[in-house]
Parts: sequence; C-alpha cells; structure tokens
Amino acid sequence: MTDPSGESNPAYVLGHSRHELDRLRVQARLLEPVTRHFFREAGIQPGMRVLDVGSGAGEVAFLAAELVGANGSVVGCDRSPIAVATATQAAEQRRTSHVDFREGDPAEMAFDEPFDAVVGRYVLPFQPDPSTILRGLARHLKPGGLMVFQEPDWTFVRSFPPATLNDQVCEWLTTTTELSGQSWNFLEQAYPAFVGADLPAPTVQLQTFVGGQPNTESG
Amino acid sequence: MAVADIMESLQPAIQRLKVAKAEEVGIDTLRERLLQENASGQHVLVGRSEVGIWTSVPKPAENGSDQD
Ligand SMILES: C[S@@+](CC[C@H](N)C(=O)[O-])C[C@H]1O[C@@H](n2cnc3c(N)ncnc32)[C@H](O)[C@@H]1O
Repeated sequence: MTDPSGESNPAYVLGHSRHELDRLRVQARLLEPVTRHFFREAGIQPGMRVLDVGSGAGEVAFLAAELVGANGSVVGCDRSPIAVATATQAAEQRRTSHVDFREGDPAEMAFDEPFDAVVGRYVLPFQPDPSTILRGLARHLKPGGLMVFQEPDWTFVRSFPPATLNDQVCEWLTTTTELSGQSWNFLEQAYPAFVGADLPAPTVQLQTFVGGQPNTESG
Repeated sequence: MAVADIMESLQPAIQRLKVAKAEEVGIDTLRERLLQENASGQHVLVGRSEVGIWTSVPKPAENGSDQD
C-alpha cells in the first residue's frame, strides 16, 4: 500500500507533504535545545560515528553532526524517498560533508562499520513494536555504544485558566494519534520498549514546554 | 502555533478516523482563532512533553585489566 505522499505500508499518519516537511523544520527549531540537552546528557561526543533513525528533513542528523564535529560522521536513514531527497538537498546547501542520507529502515539494513551511537527523534511511536526496531538497531552498535531517543508525550497537556479551543484541538490531536495506532503518549512505553529489547534499563527524562504568549510555539 | 501546524498535517487522518468534522475544525481560520484565544496572555498553556530515553549497551567484561 503506497499513498500519494510516497509512504509505504503501514500508513504513516503525518505523511510527507511539503507542508509536513516544512513543519518538521519549524518544529526542529523549537525542539533543538531539548534534543541538544538529551544528546549531551546521553554522552554524544566529538569523533563519534552516529546513526540517525527516521531522519526526515535531516535536522537531528545535522545537530548530531555539529556535536560529533569534523572527525565524526553521521548516517541518516529514512524509508521515505521524499524525506531522503529533502535531507540530502539540505546537506548540500549547508555544505555538510560528514552527513550522509540513505533510504531504508536501518533496523533491517547492513552497514560497513558499526556505530558509537544510534539516535532518533519522533520515530518510536510510529513503529508497530518499538522493541523490535530497537533490537534491530542495537545490532549496529559497538560494545558500549549509545542508544538515544527523544519522543513526545501529550499526557500532561492542559491550560490554566482553560483555553477552550486550545484544549479542544489538543484533544483532537491525541485522539487521532491514539486511533491511528501511533499514539503520541510515549512516556509509559519508553522504559518497557528498551527493556523489552534486552537493552539495559534506560535513563528517562521529561521536559515540558510551558507558554502562553501568542508568539510562542508552545502547545 | 505548533498545534495549528500539526492539525494541518493530521487533517486527512482526523477526517478519516471521524474524530472531528471539517466544519468543526475550520482549518482555514484555526491558527487565527488560536492566536486570538491566547492574545490576552491570561492562559498558561502546558504544552506537550519531550521524553528523553537513553542507555548504553554493555562492553565485554574487562577481565585482567585490574590485575596490576
Ligand atoms: C515525525 S518524522 C521525524 C523526523 C526527524 N527525526 C525529526 O525529528 O525532525 C518521522 C520520520 O521517520 C521515518 N520513519 C519512521 N519509521 C521508520 C523506520 N522504521 N525506518 C526508517 N524511517 C522511518 C518517517 O518516514 C518520517 O520521515
């Protein structure tokens, strides 16, 4: 089953329209400081060879490339050819030479060399079974290698005093993702997903956006 | 508004899964209405959370290195 956005089975709820790829870029600006924090805490360092899973428009791969520096390298993988083309073009524009994008599911791909770290953002909720992909990805890690993910959770979304429209919209969004089988409430799945893949018990941290001004991107 | 952007991408799924009718969502004016709602600056909006999850896979047992 292939839909017009170029995504193959199973249907990926957000698609790969131009709007969605643009949205990912805007979202990346909001998320970047959080991702940077998680990557630093996890131990992403200069010189590392990193695999970015579900690289989309490439933003996570570019951040990783900055953190690993010119002596490191990053391979970004996405099973959507449109995403890979967009990210490759962005890499050319940025003149980033130590980042490379490939089409496919890296859990099922083969690589010439193992990685110091596997990273991913907004990827695990879209998998039929997160533990299965984590197991496939762990094969690509050197001994002592890092597995680092950042995923969303909407459980704590609320407003004081209630902003009725905002709350309604958030409810539509969460209901849609739950019904699509791609729930955006990943907190409760995070720990079991790692342990279920026979990975050592993970560190789990939460950061929450709190805002209110119309020009903030919170919510 | 991040939620307005997400609504736009999710619009087809919202209709398909019958979560809300197109008229209820009013996607064309949604961003504007969300901005208006918050224009007063009286609301504290607790947005989504980011979950960071990480671990490192074991190294082989470091035998012998502590002998000296
Ligand atoms: C929500 S986007 C996130 C993109 C990017 N990581 C970011 O944070 O900006 C998820 C992307 O992961 C890709 N994806 C999902 N599951 C995948 C898999 N098993 N293998 C490769 N790509 C996958 C999708 O095609 C999509 O481009």
